[in-house]
Amino acid sequence: MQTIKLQSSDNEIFECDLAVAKCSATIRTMLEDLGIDENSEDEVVPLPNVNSAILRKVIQFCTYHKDDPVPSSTDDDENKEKRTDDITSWDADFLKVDQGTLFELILAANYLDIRSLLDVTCKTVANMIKGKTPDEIRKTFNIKNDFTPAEEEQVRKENTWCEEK
Amino acid sequence: MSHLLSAEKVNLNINWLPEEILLHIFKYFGLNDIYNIALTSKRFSRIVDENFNILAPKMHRISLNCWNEYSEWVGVRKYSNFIIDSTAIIRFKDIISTRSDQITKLSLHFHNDPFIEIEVVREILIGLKNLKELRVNLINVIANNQNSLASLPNLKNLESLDFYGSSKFFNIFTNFQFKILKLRLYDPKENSEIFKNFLKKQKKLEDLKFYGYILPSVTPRPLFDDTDLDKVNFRLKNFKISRNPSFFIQTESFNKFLSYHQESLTYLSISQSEVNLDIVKNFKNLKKLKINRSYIMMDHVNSHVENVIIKRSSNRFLRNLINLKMLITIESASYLNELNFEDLKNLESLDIYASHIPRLVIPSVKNLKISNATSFDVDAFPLFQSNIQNLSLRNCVNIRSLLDYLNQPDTRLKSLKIEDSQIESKYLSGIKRNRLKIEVLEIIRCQRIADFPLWSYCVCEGYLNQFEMEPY
Repeated sequence: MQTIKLQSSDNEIFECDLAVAKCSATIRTMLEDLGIDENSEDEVVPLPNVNSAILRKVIQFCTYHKDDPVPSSTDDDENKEKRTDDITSWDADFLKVDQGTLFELILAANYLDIRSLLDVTCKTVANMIKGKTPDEIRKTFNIKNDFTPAEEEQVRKENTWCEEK
Repeated sequence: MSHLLSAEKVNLNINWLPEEILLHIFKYFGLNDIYNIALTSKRFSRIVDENFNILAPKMHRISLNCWNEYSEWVGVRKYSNFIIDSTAIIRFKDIISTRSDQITKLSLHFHNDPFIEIEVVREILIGLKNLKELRVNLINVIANNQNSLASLPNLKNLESLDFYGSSKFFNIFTNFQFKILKLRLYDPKENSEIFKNFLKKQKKLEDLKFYGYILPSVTPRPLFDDTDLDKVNFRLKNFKISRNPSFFIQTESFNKFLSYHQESLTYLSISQSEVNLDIVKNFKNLKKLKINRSYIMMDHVNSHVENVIIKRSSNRFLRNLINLKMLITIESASYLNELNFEDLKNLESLDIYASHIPRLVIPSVKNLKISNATSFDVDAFPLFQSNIQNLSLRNCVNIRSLLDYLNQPDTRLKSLKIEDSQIESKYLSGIKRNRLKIEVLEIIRCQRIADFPLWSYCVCEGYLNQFEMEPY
């Protein structure tokens, strides 16, 4: 089994399966750009935007999902109905983390370009928002209401005209 | 884009997420959640606004009807339904050049100055191939060129028109087949032939609202003035005729027009008009009548009409509606004495909106709702205690005489709703004393209820709501 070394922003080294690391499009590109091939055992791939705690979680996710089929580009169809009720139980358990960790995982997934992790973390946040009122959303995420009453009324008015086709 | 995640523990907030990720999250939302997220913070509102087409490809939006700042127009391109006023129409022409296929509903309001040339309207409408519903107010439209009054090419999807303007401008729609038409011509005298010829060509029309007398300074020539309209090829389900005083309508012509729809008509609305409705005695599918500020003559018995809404109008004709089941009478209290409810043996529901409730005999009604009553005759409801099962009082005062009914041991009341009214708890004590089998008791925003003896059973804030009585 070929392995690769990943270095987190806090300088911790993680040795992981090459196939697992290649779940990340960013790492795949770095390997190509840096000329690191499968035989370069001592080379370390630096990941300055991901700390060790998050990188450990990312590797855990990718290890579990390394054999999953790669989503096709048609799955990105904007008109396709977006579901959030299809999170597997393993993923749901994996994402039972505090909000800060969840957002860090989202940022890491985005930086490392791991589509499946980005999707499932965003779905989890979407589920935390769905069905809530603006006030409940603010409370859930500790967001400050920075609208003036007039501005809020204006947004409310504009959106009152929304309707489904 | 780089978002540094240091080794130090950082309490990340959702606001730390970059816009592209928030957009990724918002894409999972339906209409209501997008609406709610836009109301959460300015940043979220802006993201929703700037990415509306991406977030909501299946939605369309009707914009507000007045924009004075050009900056507000930047976001307008995302909409597919528009309400545009005259000050904005020139800008709108530019916008629809990129959105014409997506616009399905349009409302053009040309109120106040400046005057708009009909040619501008033509240019806009010709490009809207998928337009389904159109509302136009062409009062302040002018025609400098006779060619601009020619009929528009048919927009095959346009099936609903709400038109307010002169017969001259209505001419641009004479090639169209509409399903729904609301027509307010302010000068039918000028070109009533245009409208009649238009009606003769219609084949799909199901819903017609016709307003006769619009501007008091103009003496109109009525639609139903002669026998020109001797045949139509459509069958109306819903028909409203408004602003047709006696000098404006000829019964024979009107009845002839109505007779074409004898089998199809289900709803008839008469507003600010004087008509004889004897002809509808044979209209088997006509179940609903709405009468507003009108004088209705009806000498024959009608056994088909079941629902009537009557506002500021005489009630006398109601006695002939022998199968009437539901009656809503609004601001017509002064006429209530004209009516003997004993004639209406099938009446089940009665809603009265009136300031004064006179003496009424309503023996059979099961559902009674009274709103805005400030005074009752002492014996307003002499047979009140008979059959009423659902009683609703809204915005009423001096309702003691009504609530004394609750002290009657043979009351059959199942549901009592009192809203925004003055009551005292002692009037409700009969409920408990008589052990009424009330299933629903709602007392909402009423004063002087604090010492109500059932209050201890209620956990609602400030009022009793859906309180189910338990046996005592």
